[in-house]
Amino acid sequence: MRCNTGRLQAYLDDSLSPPERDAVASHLAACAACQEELSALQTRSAAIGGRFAALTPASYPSADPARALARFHSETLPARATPWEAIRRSFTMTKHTLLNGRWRPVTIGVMALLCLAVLFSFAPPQWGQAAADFLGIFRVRKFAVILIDQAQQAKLEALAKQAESGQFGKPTQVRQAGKPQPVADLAEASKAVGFAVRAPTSLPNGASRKSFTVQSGPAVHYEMDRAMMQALLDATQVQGVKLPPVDKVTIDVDVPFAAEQEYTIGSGTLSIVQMASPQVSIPPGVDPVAIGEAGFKFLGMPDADARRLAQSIDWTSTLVIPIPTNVVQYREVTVDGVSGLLVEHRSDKTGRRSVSLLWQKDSIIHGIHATDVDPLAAMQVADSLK
Amino acid sequence: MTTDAWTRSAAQSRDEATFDALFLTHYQPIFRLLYRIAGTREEAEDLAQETFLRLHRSPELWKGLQPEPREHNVRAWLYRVATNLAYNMLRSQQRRTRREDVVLGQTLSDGRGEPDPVEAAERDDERAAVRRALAALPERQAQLLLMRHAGLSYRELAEALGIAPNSVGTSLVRAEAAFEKVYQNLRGSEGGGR
Repeated sequence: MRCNTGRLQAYLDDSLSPPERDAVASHLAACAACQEELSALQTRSAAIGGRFAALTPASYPSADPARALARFHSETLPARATPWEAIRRSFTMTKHTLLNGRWRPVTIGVMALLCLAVLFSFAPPQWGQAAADFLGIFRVRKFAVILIDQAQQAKLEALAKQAESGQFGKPTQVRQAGKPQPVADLAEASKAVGFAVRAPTSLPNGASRKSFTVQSGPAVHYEMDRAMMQALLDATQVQGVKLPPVDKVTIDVDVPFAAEQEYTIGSGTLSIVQMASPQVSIPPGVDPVAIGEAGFKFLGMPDADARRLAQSIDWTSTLVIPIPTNVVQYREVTVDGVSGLLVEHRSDKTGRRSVSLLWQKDSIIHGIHATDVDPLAAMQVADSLK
Repeated sequence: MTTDAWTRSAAQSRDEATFDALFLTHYQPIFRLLYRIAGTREEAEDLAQETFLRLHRSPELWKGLQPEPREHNVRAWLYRVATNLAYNMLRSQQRRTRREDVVLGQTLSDGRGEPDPVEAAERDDERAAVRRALAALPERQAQLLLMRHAGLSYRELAEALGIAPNSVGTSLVRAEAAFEKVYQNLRGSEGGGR
Protein backbone atom coordinates (compact mmCIF):
# COMPACT_ATOMS: atom_id res chain seq x y z
CA MET A 1 0.00 0.00 0.00
CA ARG A 2 1.21 3.48 -0.88
CA CYS A 3 1.11 6.31 1.60
CA ASN A 4 -1.96 8.44 0.97
CA THR A 5 -3.03 11.36 3.14
CA GLY A 6 -6.66 11.23 2.00
CA ARG A 7 -6.90 7.59 2.95
CA LEU A 8 -5.35 8.32 6.32
CA GLN A 9 -8.01 11.00 6.88
CA ALA A 10 -10.70 8.51 5.94
CA TYR A 11 -9.10 6.02 8.32
CA LEU A 12 -9.16 8.64 11.03
CA ASP A 13 -12.81 9.36 10.29
CA ASP A 14 -13.59 5.64 10.32
CA SER A 15 -14.91 5.90 6.79
CA LEU A 16 -13.10 3.01 5.13
CA SER A 17 -14.42 -0.42 4.30
CA PRO A 18 -13.16 -3.14 6.67
CA PRO A 19 -10.59 -4.53 4.20
CA GLU A 20 -9.30 -1.02 3.46
CA ARG A 21 -9.15 -0.25 7.13
CA ASP A 22 -7.16 -3.40 7.81
CA ALA A 23 -4.80 -2.57 4.97
CA VAL A 24 -4.19 0.94 6.31
CA ALA A 25 -3.74 -0.40 9.84
CA SER A 26 -1.10 -2.89 8.79
CA HIS A 27 0.63 -0.28 6.65
CA LEU A 28 0.66 2.14 9.57
CA ALA A 29 2.29 -0.46 11.78
CA ALA A 30 5.25 -0.50 9.43
CA CYS A 31 5.43 3.13 8.21
CA ALA A 32 6.74 5.74 10.61
CA ALA A 33 6.06 8.57 8.15
CA CYS A 34 2.39 7.66 7.95
CA GLN A 35 2.15 7.32 11.72
CA GLU A 36 3.46 10.82 12.02
CA GLU A 37 1.11 12.13 9.40
CA LEU A 38 -1.84 10.42 11.00
CA SER A 39 -1.01 12.02 14.27
CA ALA A 40 -0.74 15.46 12.63
CA LEU A 41 -4.09 14.95 10.91
CA GLN A 42 -5.63 13.87 14.16
CA THR A 43 -4.40 16.97 15.96
CA ARG A 44 -5.66 19.28 13.26
CA SER A 45 -9.02 17.56 12.92
CA ALA A 46 -9.52 17.71 16.67
CA ALA A 47 -8.65 21.41 16.68
CA ILE A 48 -11.05 22.15 13.86
CA GLY A 49 -13.70 20.02 15.52
CA GLY A 50 -13.33 22.23 18.57
CA ARG A 51 -13.65 25.39 16.51
CA PHE A 52 -16.81 24.17 14.83
CA ALA A 53 -18.14 23.12 18.21
CA ALA A 54 -18.06 26.80 19.16
CA LEU A 55 -20.85 27.31 16.65
CA THR A 56 -23.09 24.90 18.51
CA PRO A 57 -25.32 26.80 20.90
CA ALA A 58 -26.01 25.73 24.48
CA SER A 59 -29.51 25.04 23.27
CA TYR A 60 -31.29 25.45 19.97
CA PRO A 61 -34.36 27.61 19.64
CA SER A 62 -37.41 25.45 19.13
CA ALA A 63 -38.16 24.71 15.51
CA ASP A 64 -41.47 23.00 14.99
CA PRO A 65 -41.29 21.27 11.60
CA ALA A 66 -45.08 21.18 11.27
CA ARG A 67 -45.32 24.91 11.83
CA ALA A 68 -42.47 25.50 9.40
CA LEU A 69 -44.25 23.36 6.82
CA ALA A 70 -47.43 25.34 7.30
CA ARG A 71 -45.47 28.54 6.76
CA PHE A 72 -43.88 27.00 3.70
CA HIS A 73 -47.23 26.28 2.11
CA SER A 74 -48.96 29.45 3.17
CA GLU A 75 -46.15 32.00 2.72
CA THR A 76 -42.99 30.79 1.08
CA LEU A 77 -44.44 28.98 -1.89
CA PRO A 78 -47.05 31.56 -2.87
CA ALA A 79 -44.75 34.52 -2.24
CA ARG A 80 -41.83 33.12 -4.12
CA ALA A 81 -43.59 31.70 -7.10
CA THR A 82 -42.57 33.86 -10.02
CA PRO A 83 -45.37 34.90 -12.30
CA TRP A 84 -43.94 32.71 -14.99
CA GLU A 85 -44.00 29.77 -12.65
CA ALA A 86 -47.55 30.62 -11.88
CA ILE A 87 -48.22 30.67 -15.59
CA ARG A 88 -46.55 27.36 -16.19
CA ARG A 89 -48.34 25.82 -13.25
CA SER A 90 -51.45 27.41 -14.48
CA PHE A 91 -51.02 25.87 -17.89
CA THR A 92 -50.74 22.46 -16.34
CA MET A 93 -53.59 23.29 -14.04
CA THR A 94 -55.80 24.39 -16.88
CA LYS A 95 -55.42 20.99 -18.38
CA HIS A 96 -56.05 19.32 -15.05
CA THR A 97 -58.93 21.61 -14.40
CA LEU A 98 -60.59 20.78 -17.61
CA LEU A 99 -59.82 17.12 -17.47
CA ASN A 100 -59.97 16.10 -13.91
CA GLY A 101 -58.59 18.67 -11.58
CA ARG A 102 -60.00 21.13 -9.16
CA TRP A 103 -61.22 24.52 -10.26
CA ARG A 104 -58.68 27.18 -9.70
CA PRO A 105 -60.09 30.59 -10.54
CA VAL A 106 -56.65 31.99 -11.05
CA THR A 107 -56.02 29.53 -13.83
CA ILE A 108 -58.14 31.27 -16.36
CA GLY A 109 -56.48 34.61 -15.91
CA VAL A 110 -52.91 33.49 -16.09
CA MET A 111 -53.79 31.15 -18.88
CA ALA A 112 -55.10 34.13 -20.76
CA LEU A 113 -51.85 35.92 -20.08
CA LEU A 114 -49.88 32.98 -21.34
CA CYS A 115 -51.93 32.74 -24.50
CA LEU A 116 -51.71 36.43 -25.14
CA ALA A 117 -48.10 36.88 -24.18
CA VAL A 118 -47.11 34.00 -26.36
CA LEU A 119 -49.38 34.86 -29.22
CA PHE A 120 -48.90 38.56 -29.00
CA SER A 121 -45.31 38.67 -30.05
CA PHE A 122 -46.01 37.05 -33.37
CA ALA A 123 -46.40 40.26 -35.22
CA PRO A 124 -48.23 39.84 -38.46
CA PRO A 125 -46.67 41.01 -41.71
CA GLN A 126 -49.65 43.29 -42.20
CA TRP A 127 -48.95 44.81 -38.81
CA GLY A 128 -50.96 47.84 -38.02
CA GLN A 129 -53.71 47.35 -40.57
CA ALA A 130 -56.19 45.86 -38.21
CA ALA A 131 -55.31 48.17 -35.36
CA ALA A 132 -58.49 50.13 -35.51
CA ASP A 133 -60.58 47.04 -34.91
CA PHE A 134 -58.93 46.15 -31.71
CA LEU A 135 -60.40 47.03 -28.38
CA GLY A 136 -57.30 46.81 -26.28
CA ILE A 137 -59.03 44.98 -23.48
CA PHE A 138 -59.57 41.29 -23.36
CA ARG A 139 -62.46 39.90 -21.38
CA VAL A 140 -63.61 36.34 -21.39
CA ARG A 141 -67.00 35.97 -22.97
CA LYS A 142 -66.64 32.64 -24.66
CA PHE A 143 -64.51 29.58 -24.62
CA ALA A 144 -63.10 27.83 -27.61
CA VAL A 145 -61.27 24.58 -27.65
CA ILE A 146 -58.27 23.75 -29.68
CA LEU A 147 -57.35 20.11 -29.67
CA ILE A 148 -53.70 19.37 -29.34
CA ASP A 149 -51.79 16.12 -29.39
CA GLN A 150 -49.02 15.10 -27.04
CA ALA A 151 -46.27 16.54 -29.22
CA GLN A 152 -47.99 19.90 -29.36
CA GLN A 153 -48.62 19.76 -25.66
CA ALA A 154 -44.92 19.15 -25.14
CA LYS A 155 -44.12 22.12 -27.38
CA LEU A 156 -46.34 24.43 -25.35
CA GLU A 157 -44.89 23.19 -22.11
CA ALA A 158 -41.34 23.64 -23.40
CA LEU A 159 -42.16 27.21 -24.41
CA ALA A 160 -43.71 27.89 -21.02
CA LYS A 161 -40.59 26.51 -19.38
CA GLN A 162 -38.38 28.85 -21.38
CA ALA A 163 -40.63 31.70 -20.39
CA GLU A 164 -40.34 30.66 -16.78
CA SER A 165 -36.57 30.77 -16.96
CA GLY A 166 -36.87 34.44 -17.84
CA GLN A 167 -35.86 34.22 -21.48
CA PHE A 168 -38.69 36.46 -22.53
CA GLY A 169 -38.49 38.83 -19.61
CA LYS A 170 -40.02 38.64 -16.20
CA PRO A 171 -43.51 39.82 -15.39
CA THR A 172 -43.97 41.68 -12.13
CA GLN A 173 -46.61 40.59 -9.75
CA VAL A 174 -48.68 43.65 -8.95
CA ARG A 175 -50.92 41.81 -6.57
CA GLN A 176 -50.77 38.32 -5.21
CA ALA A 177 -53.67 35.98 -5.27
CA GLY A 178 -55.36 35.81 -1.90
CA LYS A 179 -56.06 32.69 0.05
CA PRO A 180 -59.55 31.22 -0.04
CA GLN A 181 -61.63 32.81 2.71
CA PRO A 182 -64.65 30.98 4.06
CA VAL A 183 -67.97 32.79 3.81
CA ALA A 184 -71.23 31.98 5.55
CA ASP A 185 -73.76 32.56 2.81
CA LEU A 186 -74.57 34.02 -0.59
CA ALA A 187 -74.91 37.54 0.76
CA GLU A 188 -71.48 37.52 2.32
CA ALA A 189 -69.95 35.93 -0.77
CA SER A 190 -71.61 38.45 -3.08
CA LYS A 191 -70.43 41.33 -0.97
CA ALA A 192 -66.85 40.05 -1.06
CA VAL A 193 -66.65 39.38 -4.77
CA GLY A 194 -68.68 42.37 -5.97
CA PHE A 195 -71.28 40.53 -7.97
CA ALA A 196 -74.34 38.46 -7.16
CA VAL A 197 -73.12 34.95 -6.42
CA ARG A 198 -75.66 32.24 -7.24
CA ALA A 199 -76.26 28.92 -5.54
CA PRO A 200 -77.80 25.75 -6.94
CA THR A 201 -81.45 25.21 -6.11
CA SER A 202 -81.25 21.56 -7.06
CA LEU A 203 -78.50 19.12 -6.27
CA PRO A 204 -78.12 15.38 -6.79
CA ASN A 205 -79.37 13.22 -3.91
CA GLY A 206 -77.02 12.98 -0.96
CA ALA A 207 -75.16 16.18 -1.77
CA SER A 208 -73.81 18.12 1.17
CA ARG A 209 -71.88 21.35 1.17
CA LYS A 210 -68.25 21.00 2.10
CA SER A 211 -67.11 24.58 1.80
CA PHE A 212 -68.03 28.02 0.55
CA THR A 213 -65.10 30.36 -0.07
CA VAL A 214 -64.11 33.53 -1.87
CA GLN A 215 -60.67 34.30 -3.18
CA SER A 216 -59.03 37.31 -4.77
CA GLY A 217 -57.01 36.82 -7.93
CA PRO A 218 -53.57 38.09 -8.88
CA ALA A 219 -52.58 41.05 -11.02
CA VAL A 220 -49.54 40.90 -13.24
CA HIS A 221 -47.71 43.51 -15.28
CA TYR A 222 -45.56 42.36 -18.12
CA GLU A 223 -43.21 44.25 -20.41
CA MET A 224 -41.42 42.77 -23.36
CA ASP A 225 -38.72 44.62 -25.29
CA ARG A 226 -37.59 43.86 -28.82
CA ALA A 227 -34.82 41.52 -27.75
CA MET A 228 -37.27 39.44 -25.75
CA MET A 229 -39.79 39.46 -28.57
CA GLN A 230 -37.10 38.24 -30.93
CA ALA A 231 -36.11 35.55 -28.46
CA LEU A 232 -39.69 34.36 -28.24
CA LEU A 233 -40.08 34.43 -31.99
CA ASP A 234 -36.89 32.43 -32.40
CA ALA A 235 -38.03 29.93 -29.80
CA THR A 236 -41.29 29.31 -31.60
CA GLN A 237 -39.66 28.87 -35.01
CA VAL A 238 -42.80 30.13 -36.67
CA GLN A 239 -41.94 31.33 -40.16
CA GLY A 240 -43.10 34.42 -41.96
CA VAL A 241 -43.77 36.85 -39.14
CA LYS A 242 -42.09 40.12 -38.30
CA LEU A 243 -41.73 41.96 -35.02
CA PRO A 244 -44.07 44.84 -34.37
CA PRO A 245 -42.65 48.33 -35.03
CA VAL A 246 -42.57 49.25 -31.34
CA ASP A 247 -39.82 49.32 -28.75
CA LYS A 248 -41.74 47.34 -26.22
CA VAL A 249 -45.13 45.95 -25.48
CA THR A 250 -46.85 45.91 -22.14
CA ILE A 251 -49.54 43.56 -20.99
CA ASP A 252 -51.53 43.89 -17.79
CA VAL A 253 -53.57 41.09 -16.40
CA ASP A 254 -56.01 41.54 -13.58
CA VAL A 255 -57.87 38.59 -12.17
CA PRO A 256 -60.67 39.67 -9.85
CA PHE A 257 -62.50 37.78 -7.16
CA ALA A 258 -63.99 34.34 -7.42
CA ALA A 259 -66.42 32.39 -5.28
CA GLU A 260 -66.39 28.63 -4.93
CA GLN A 261 -68.94 26.23 -3.50
CA GLU A 262 -67.86 22.67 -2.93
CA TYR A 263 -70.10 19.68 -2.37
CA THR A 264 -69.60 16.04 -1.71
CA ILE A 265 -72.01 13.65 -3.36
CA GLY A 266 -71.51 10.07 -2.24
CA SER A 267 -68.00 9.17 -3.33
CA GLY A 268 -67.92 12.09 -5.73
CA THR A 269 -67.39 15.82 -5.50
CA LEU A 270 -68.85 18.82 -7.24
CA SER A 271 -67.53 22.34 -7.20
CA ILE A 272 -69.06 25.51 -8.58
CA VAL A 273 -66.87 28.49 -9.32
CA GLN A 274 -68.07 31.93 -10.31
CA MET A 275 -65.78 34.80 -11.14
CA ALA A 276 -65.77 38.09 -12.92
CA SER A 277 -63.76 37.82 -16.09
CA PRO A 278 -60.07 38.51 -15.78
CA GLN A 279 -59.03 41.52 -17.81
CA VAL A 280 -56.01 41.62 -20.02
CA SER A 281 -55.02 44.95 -21.48
CA ILE A 282 -52.76 44.96 -24.46
CA PRO A 283 -51.33 47.93 -26.28
CA PRO A 284 -53.29 49.18 -29.27
CA GLY A 285 -52.13 48.33 -32.74
CA VAL A 286 -52.29 44.60 -32.45
CA ASP A 287 -54.01 42.39 -34.97
CA PRO A 288 -55.23 39.56 -32.80
CA VAL A 289 -56.35 37.44 -35.73
CA ALA A 290 -52.91 37.31 -37.20
CA ILE A 291 -51.42 36.66 -33.80
CA GLY A 292 -53.83 33.84 -33.21
CA GLU A 293 -52.98 32.43 -36.59
CA ALA A 294 -49.30 32.45 -35.76
CA GLY A 295 -50.11 30.72 -32.48
CA PHE A 296 -51.96 27.96 -34.25
CA LYS A 297 -49.10 27.56 -36.68
CA PHE A 298 -46.83 27.19 -33.70
CA LEU A 299 -48.98 24.29 -32.63
CA GLY A 300 -48.34 22.72 -35.99
CA MET A 301 -51.59 23.57 -37.74
CA PRO A 302 -51.40 23.83 -41.55
CA ASP A 303 -51.32 27.47 -42.71
CA ALA A 304 -54.76 27.50 -44.28
CA ASP A 305 -56.43 25.88 -41.25
CA ALA A 306 -54.64 28.22 -38.88
CA ARG A 307 -55.90 31.24 -40.80
CA ARG A 308 -59.46 29.95 -41.03
CA LEU A 309 -59.65 29.11 -37.35
CA ALA A 310 -58.00 32.36 -36.27
CA GLN A 311 -60.50 34.34 -38.34
CA SER A 312 -63.44 32.50 -36.83
CA ILE A 313 -62.51 33.53 -33.30
CA ASP A 314 -63.28 36.82 -31.62
CA TRP A 315 -59.94 37.24 -29.95
CA THR A 316 -61.02 40.02 -27.67
CA SER A 317 -63.47 37.84 -25.82
CA THR A 318 -62.68 34.20 -26.45
CA LEU A 319 -60.41 32.22 -24.25
CA VAL A 320 -58.83 29.52 -26.33
CA ILE A 321 -58.14 26.40 -24.32
CA PRO A 322 -55.75 23.78 -25.57
CA ILE A 323 -57.08 20.30 -24.80
CA PRO A 324 -55.07 17.16 -25.33
CA THR A 325 -56.97 14.95 -27.75
CA ASN A 326 -55.97 11.71 -26.18
CA VAL A 327 -57.55 12.22 -22.81
CA VAL A 328 -60.87 13.93 -23.15
CA GLN A 329 -64.06 14.34 -25.00
CA TYR A 330 -65.72 17.68 -25.26
CA ARG A 331 -68.90 19.05 -26.73
CA GLU A 332 -70.84 22.25 -26.84
CA VAL A 333 -73.91 22.22 -24.66
CA THR A 334 -76.62 24.60 -23.56
CA VAL A 335 -76.48 25.27 -19.85
CA ASP A 336 -77.92 28.01 -17.70
CA GLY A 337 -79.65 29.29 -20.82
CA VAL A 338 -76.45 29.93 -22.71
CA SER A 339 -73.94 28.02 -24.77
CA GLY A 340 -71.19 26.32 -22.81
CA LEU A 341 -68.51 23.74 -23.02
CA LEU A 342 -68.67 20.27 -21.52
CA VAL A 343 -65.43 18.37 -21.10
CA GLU A 344 -65.45 14.75 -20.02
CA HIS A 345 -62.79 12.36 -19.04
CA ARG A 346 -62.95 8.77 -17.92
CA SER A 347 -59.99 7.00 -16.46
CA ASP A 348 -58.98 3.79 -18.21
CA LYS A 349 -57.71 2.44 -14.96
CA THR A 350 -60.18 3.41 -12.31
CA GLY A 351 -63.21 3.96 -14.49
CA ARG A 352 -63.84 7.19 -12.59
CA ARG A 353 -65.35 9.95 -14.56
CA SER A 354 -64.78 13.65 -14.28
CA VAL A 355 -66.84 16.36 -15.88
CA SER A 356 -66.15 20.04 -16.37
CA LEU A 357 -68.61 22.64 -17.55
CA LEU A 358 -67.58 26.12 -18.59
CA TRP A 359 -69.88 28.96 -19.52
CA GLN A 360 -70.23 32.70 -19.31
CA LYS A 361 -73.38 34.47 -18.27
CA ASP A 362 -74.03 38.09 -17.35
CA SER A 363 -70.30 38.82 -17.55
CA ILE A 364 -69.55 36.16 -14.95
CA ILE A 365 -67.50 33.12 -15.80
CA HIS A 366 -68.98 29.94 -14.41
CA GLY A 367 -67.38 26.60 -14.01
CA ILE A 368 -68.54 23.33 -12.55
CA HIS A 369 -66.17 20.53 -11.98
CA ALA A 370 -67.36 17.18 -10.74
CA THR A 371 -66.00 13.70 -10.24
CA ASP A 372 -68.12 10.58 -10.12
CA VAL A 373 -71.11 12.66 -11.13
CA ASP A 374 -73.14 12.12 -14.24
CA PRO A 375 -72.62 14.89 -16.85
CA LEU A 376 -76.36 15.36 -17.04
CA ALA A 377 -76.55 15.85 -13.28
CA ALA A 378 -73.80 18.45 -13.47
CA MET A 379 -75.73 20.27 -16.19
CA GLN A 380 -78.87 20.19 -14.06
CA VAL A 381 -76.95 21.79 -11.23
CA ALA A 382 -75.82 24.49 -13.65
CA ASP A 383 -79.39 25.02 -14.82
CA SER A 384 -80.62 25.37 -11.24
CA LEU A 385 -78.33 28.25 -10.26
CA LYS A 386 -80.29 31.10 -8.72
CA MET B 1 -51.49 3.67 -23.41
CA THR B 2 -52.97 7.11 -23.40
CA THR B 3 -52.07 9.66 -20.79
CA ASP B 4 -54.21 8.99 -17.80
CA ALA B 5 -55.28 12.18 -16.15
CA TRP B 6 -56.66 10.38 -13.14
CA THR B 7 -53.41 8.65 -12.53
CA ARG B 8 -51.67 11.97 -12.87
CA SER B 9 -54.01 13.50 -10.37
CA ALA B 10 -53.48 10.72 -7.85
CA ALA B 11 -49.77 10.94 -8.45
CA GLN B 12 -49.90 14.65 -7.77
CA SER B 13 -51.38 14.31 -4.33
CA ARG B 14 -48.98 11.47 -3.57
CA ASP B 15 -46.13 13.76 -4.65
CA GLU B 16 -47.36 16.47 -2.33
CA ALA B 17 -47.42 13.97 0.51
CA THR B 18 -43.90 12.87 -0.38
CA PHE B 19 -42.65 16.43 -0.30
CA ASP B 20 -44.34 17.13 3.02
CA ALA B 21 -42.84 13.98 4.51
CA LEU B 22 -39.38 15.00 3.36
CA PHE B 23 -39.89 18.45 4.81
CA LEU B 24 -40.95 17.11 8.19
CA THR B 25 -38.09 14.61 8.30
CA HIS B 26 -35.30 16.99 7.36
CA TYR B 27 -36.46 20.34 8.65
CA GLN B 28 -35.01 20.18 12.13
CA PRO B 29 -31.47 19.05 11.21
CA ILE B 30 -31.36 21.59 8.38
CA PHE B 31 -32.61 24.34 10.66
CA ARG B 32 -30.02 23.49 13.27
CA LEU B 33 -27.22 23.40 10.73
CA LEU B 34 -28.30 26.82 9.50
CA TYR B 35 -28.68 28.14 13.02
CA ARG B 36 -25.11 27.16 13.80
CA ILE B 37 -23.90 29.04 10.77
CA ALA B 38 -26.24 32.02 10.83
CA GLY B 39 -26.49 32.40 14.59
CA THR B 40 -29.99 33.83 14.62
CA ARG B 41 -33.27 32.02 14.61
CA GLU B 42 -34.88 34.30 12.08
CA GLU B 43 -32.07 33.96 9.58
CA ALA B 44 -31.92 30.20 10.04
CA GLU B 45 -35.67 29.89 9.52
CA ASP B 46 -35.58 31.99 6.38
CA LEU B 47 -32.68 30.03 4.95
CA ALA B 48 -34.41 26.75 5.80
CA GLN B 49 -37.54 27.91 3.99
CA GLU B 50 -35.40 28.85 1.01
CA THR B 51 -33.67 25.46 1.11
CA PHE B 52 -36.97 23.61 0.95
CA LEU B 53 -38.24 25.97 -1.71
CA ARG B 54 -35.29 24.86 -3.83
CA LEU B 55 -36.19 21.26 -3.12
CA HIS B 56 -39.74 21.95 -4.15
CA ARG B 57 -38.42 23.38 -7.38
CA SER B 58 -36.41 20.25 -8.06
CA PRO B 59 -39.21 17.73 -8.34
CA GLU B 60 -36.98 15.24 -10.13
CA LEU B 61 -35.48 14.53 -6.71
CA TRP B 62 -38.68 13.48 -5.07
CA LYS B 63 -41.61 13.32 -7.45
CA GLY B 64 -43.11 9.99 -8.26
CA LEU B 65 -41.13 8.24 -5.55
CA GLN B 66 -41.76 7.22 -2.03
CA PRO B 67 -39.42 8.99 0.38
CA GLU B 68 -37.31 5.96 1.26
CA PRO B 69 -35.49 4.98 -1.94
CA ARG B 70 -33.83 8.35 -2.47
CA GLU B 71 -33.88 9.55 1.07
CA HIS B 72 -30.13 9.48 1.19
CA ASN B 73 -29.80 11.55 -2.00
CA VAL B 74 -32.30 14.09 -0.79
CA ARG B 75 -30.54 14.50 2.54
CA ALA B 76 -27.19 15.10 0.85
CA TRP B 77 -28.84 17.45 -1.63
CA LEU B 78 -30.54 19.45 1.12
CA TYR B 79 -27.29 19.85 3.03
CA ARG B 80 -25.52 21.00 -0.09
CA VAL B 81 -28.18 23.61 -0.82
CA ALA B 82 -28.39 24.73 2.81
CA THR B 83 -24.64 25.11 3.13
CA ASN B 84 -24.51 26.91 -0.20
CA LEU B 85 -27.15 29.40 0.97
CA ALA B 86 -25.44 29.79 4.32
CA TYR B 87 -22.07 30.32 2.68
CA ASN B 88 -23.53 33.02 0.45
CA MET B 89 -25.07 34.64 3.49
CA LEU B 90 -21.73 34.59 5.33
CA ARG B 91 -20.03 36.14 2.31
CA SER B 92 -22.54 38.92 2.00
CA GLN B 93 -22.46 39.53 5.75
CA GLN B 94 -18.72 39.76 5.47
CA ARG B 95 -18.98 42.42 2.82
CA ARG B 96 -21.61 44.25 4.80
CA THR B 97 -19.79 44.15 8.09
CA ARG B 98 -16.61 45.24 6.41
CA ARG B 99 -18.50 48.28 5.20
CA GLU B 100 -20.14 48.90 8.50
CA ASP B 101 -17.02 48.04 10.43
CA VAL B 102 -18.87 45.79 12.81
CA VAL B 103 -17.43 42.61 14.18
CA LEU B 104 -19.27 39.67 12.64
CA GLY B 105 -19.57 37.84 15.91
CA GLN B 106 -21.38 40.70 17.56
CA THR B 107 -24.00 40.79 14.89
CA LEU B 108 -24.46 37.08 14.89
CA SER B 109 -24.19 35.80 18.40
CA ASP B 110 -26.80 36.39 20.98
CA GLY B 111 -24.47 35.12 23.68
CA ARG B 112 -27.34 33.45 25.49
CA GLY B 113 -26.63 30.44 27.60
CA GLU B 114 -23.21 31.72 28.56
CA PRO B 115 -23.37 33.34 31.97
CA ASP B 116 -19.75 34.40 32.18
CA PRO B 117 -19.40 37.54 30.05
CA VAL B 118 -15.69 36.99 29.47
CA GLU B 119 -16.29 33.44 28.36
CA ALA B 120 -19.20 34.56 26.24
CA ALA B 121 -17.07 37.19 24.57
CA GLU B 122 -14.37 34.59 23.94
CA ARG B 123 -16.86 32.31 22.32
CA ASP B 124 -18.27 35.14 20.28
CA ASP B 125 -14.81 35.87 18.99
CA GLU B 126 -14.25 32.26 18.17
CA ARG B 127 -17.58 31.96 16.36
CA ALA B 128 -16.87 35.10 14.42
CA ALA B 129 -13.46 33.79 13.43
CA VAL B 130 -14.88 30.43 12.34
CA ARG B 131 -17.53 32.17 10.25
CA ARG B 132 -15.05 34.56 8.75
CA ALA B 133 -12.66 31.74 7.96
CA LEU B 134 -15.46 29.80 6.29
CA ALA B 135 -16.44 32.83 4.26
CA ALA B 136 -12.84 33.22 3.13
CA LEU B 137 -12.59 29.64 1.87
CA PRO B 138 -13.59 28.57 -1.61
CA GLU B 139 -17.25 27.61 -1.50
CA ARG B 140 -16.86 23.89 -1.92
CA GLN B 141 -14.30 23.64 0.84
CA ALA B 142 -16.51 25.60 3.20
CA GLN B 143 -19.47 23.42 2.31
CA LEU B 144 -17.46 20.26 2.75
CA LEU B 145 -16.39 21.27 6.25
CA LEU B 146 -19.85 22.43 7.24
CA MET B 147 -21.44 19.23 6.04
CA ARG B 148 -18.78 17.06 7.60
CA HIS B 149 -19.18 18.77 10.94
CA ALA B 150 -22.93 18.44 10.61
CA GLY B 151 -22.38 14.69 10.60
CA LEU B 152 -22.67 13.70 6.95
CA SER B 153 -20.94 10.48 6.03
CA TYR B 154 -18.24 10.26 3.38
CA ARG B 155 -20.77 8.70 1.07
CA GLU B 156 -23.17 11.57 1.56
CA LEU B 157 -20.43 14.14 1.13
CA ALA B 158 -19.44 12.49 -2.14
CA GLU B 159 -23.07 12.50 -3.22
CA ALA B 160 -23.63 16.12 -2.22
CA LEU B 161 -20.56 17.51 -3.90
CA GLY B 162 -20.52 15.18 -6.84
CA ILE B 163 -17.09 13.77 -6.13
CA ALA B 164 -15.82 10.18 -6.01
CA PRO B 165 -16.28 8.63 -2.56
CA ASN B 166 -12.62 7.69 -2.35
CA SER B 167 -11.55 11.29 -2.93
CA VAL B 168 -13.53 12.67 0.01
CA GLY B 169 -10.64 12.07 2.41
CA THR B 170 -8.23 13.99 0.21
CA SER B 171 -10.72 16.85 -0.25
CA LEU B 172 -11.25 17.02 3.49
CA VAL B 173 -7.51 17.14 4.17
CA ARG B 174 -7.18 20.09 1.78
CA ALA B 175 -10.24 21.86 3.17
CA GLU B 176 -9.06 21.45 6.74
CA ALA B 177 -5.59 22.66 5.88
CA ALA B 178 -7.03 25.69 4.09
CA PHE B 179 -9.44 26.42 6.93
CA GLU B 180 -6.78 26.17 9.58
CA LYS B 181 -4.46 28.48 7.68
CA VAL B 182 -7.14 31.16 7.26
CA TYR B 183 -8.33 30.72 10.82
CA GLN B 184 -4.87 31.08 12.28
CA ASN B 185 -4.25 34.16 10.15
CA LEU B 186 -7.47 35.70 11.36
CA ARG B 187 -6.80 34.96 14.99
CA GLY B 188 -3.24 36.14 14.58
CA SER B 189 -4.24 39.44 13.03
CA GLU B 190 -6.99 39.89 15.62
CA GLY B 191 -4.56 39.30 18.45
CA GLY B 192 -2.04 41.71 16.95
CA GLY B 193 -4.68 44.34 16.42
CA ARG B 194 -5.57 44.63 20.09
